[in-house]
Amino acid sequence: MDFRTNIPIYVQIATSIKEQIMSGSLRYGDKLPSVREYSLIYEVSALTIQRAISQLDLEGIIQSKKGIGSFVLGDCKDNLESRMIGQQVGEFVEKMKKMGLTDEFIISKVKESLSNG
Amino acid sequence: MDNLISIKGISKKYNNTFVINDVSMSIPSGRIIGLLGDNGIGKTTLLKLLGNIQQPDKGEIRIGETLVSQMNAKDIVYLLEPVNIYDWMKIKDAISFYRDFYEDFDAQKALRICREFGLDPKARITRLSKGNKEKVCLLLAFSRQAKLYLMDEPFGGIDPTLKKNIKKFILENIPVNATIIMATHLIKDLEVLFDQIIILGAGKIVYVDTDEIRETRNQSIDEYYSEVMENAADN
Amino acid sequence: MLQTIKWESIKQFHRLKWIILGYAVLLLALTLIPADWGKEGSAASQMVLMFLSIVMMFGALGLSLYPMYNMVSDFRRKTYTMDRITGKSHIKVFLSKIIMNLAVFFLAAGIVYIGTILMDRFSTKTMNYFTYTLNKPYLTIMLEMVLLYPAIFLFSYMSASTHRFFRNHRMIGTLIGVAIISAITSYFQFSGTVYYIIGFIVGMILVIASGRMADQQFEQHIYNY
Repeated sequence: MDFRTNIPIYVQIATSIKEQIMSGSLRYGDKLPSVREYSLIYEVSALTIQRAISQLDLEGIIQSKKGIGSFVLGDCKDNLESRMIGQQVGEFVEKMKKMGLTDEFIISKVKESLSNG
Repeated sequence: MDNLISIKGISKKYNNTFVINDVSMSIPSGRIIGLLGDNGIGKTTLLKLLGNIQQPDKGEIRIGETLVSQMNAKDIVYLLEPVNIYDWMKIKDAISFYRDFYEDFDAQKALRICREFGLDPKARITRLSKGNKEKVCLLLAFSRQAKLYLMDEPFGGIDPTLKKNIKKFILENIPVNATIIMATHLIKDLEVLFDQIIILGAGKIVYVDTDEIRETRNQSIDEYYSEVMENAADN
Repeated sequence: MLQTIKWESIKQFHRLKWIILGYAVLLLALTLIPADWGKEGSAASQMVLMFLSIVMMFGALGLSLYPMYNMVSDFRRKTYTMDRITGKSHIKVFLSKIIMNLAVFFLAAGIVYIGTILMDRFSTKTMNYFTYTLNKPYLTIMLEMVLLYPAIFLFSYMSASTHRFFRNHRMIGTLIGVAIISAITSYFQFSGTVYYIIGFIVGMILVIASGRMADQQFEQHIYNY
């Protein structure tokens, strides 16, 4: 995976795992790969993986059972979706505003995009 | 978070200049640490001090409670460069050598890795390609079980595919809770791998968490490093 | 300790194998050359024999100086790192080298002895090729070549290498050390068994002292980085 180098790596990995949960590749009750397996998949250190897992555990998206592994908590799927989307929208709006666009202009552009499918 | 290495007030001089000047720091276990700096001799010196290949002029270095100079190479692996290996040695000779002198060395593992790399144990090491020589050094180092691995520019002059394979090899074979300190100038390539970095400039040290830099400054480590080196130059 | 001796002997073998092979071939050649070469008076054959004599001489000389060089030669190579990081004590290393010196000594003695016998076949009343006379008993030569002189050389080198100033000028430092120690020892004249005992003790003390210095303070010269 290609990482942006100016945001924490563990955050990007946590996001990547969240996306997998949202898209359904990881479902409720699934056991996540081990720390070492993840470290090889993402080509990062074990510590970074552990931080990502801790983050997800903190957010209630997965549950870590010491000595056994980490498991996906599915009932947070909808929550996850709206939170992630909320984050994306927030970032988008901020970008647009930085370019100096007005609220009305932003809304009209969004409507345009939606009606185009 | 255990403190693995304790460095107190070490200084090292060459030709009347301080290459390392009154440096103190504590390094935890379980970290992959990049050692950066524009001057090769500083980074090499620090690694050699940690590996007991050189002695500090002042100060002391301990791993756990024991002084590095009294550890007899237990728990510390210093990655060899191909030139350090006797030119008459075949790969199996080097493996025998390691097996004879290091209790934590797994000769079976070394031979298995050798096969996986597609190398013939009966090959003379000096006759291998540069990349293969480096692979031999790596398989020797990582067939040992240690707490600290010291690597001085292990990716120098190696093609990108091999670099990727070596990265994976290291991640695959590093023992749990071991710390790696890797000197390199390939910051862009490797910054994602490092949990922490040590920047050595003008004998002084900067020691930081990589993700913390990214979080608080929105900078890549490459950018941060350039900034630190510029500031050092201005002072 | 056994491992150290094992690898030291393997290392010496690889270092000396060509010389040993060369001299084996030379000795073989000497057995094959007809004895009348020397007696015939042909200038060419005499020159060849002369040349071979000189080669034998250099061999004997080289092999007798080798034990001294052997003590410190590893320090001057990049392979020192491979040995150093094993953490084995330098005392063990130096003692292994002394043992190897003994082996080299016997090898050299053997070559010289056989060479002398072989070359003797060619001697005439006027021409004597490779011969030798010893002004000291064998045991003395053995003690000096295998232990005492190498120990003095090693100790001087180690003192120079761990000294603040001389560490960058090791050869000069070593020579000064050797000169000083030679001057001191020339005051004492021992002979017979006393000499052997004292020589052995002094040699061992210098070796062990060098080992401790090396363990605690030795670093390779900066040009080895």
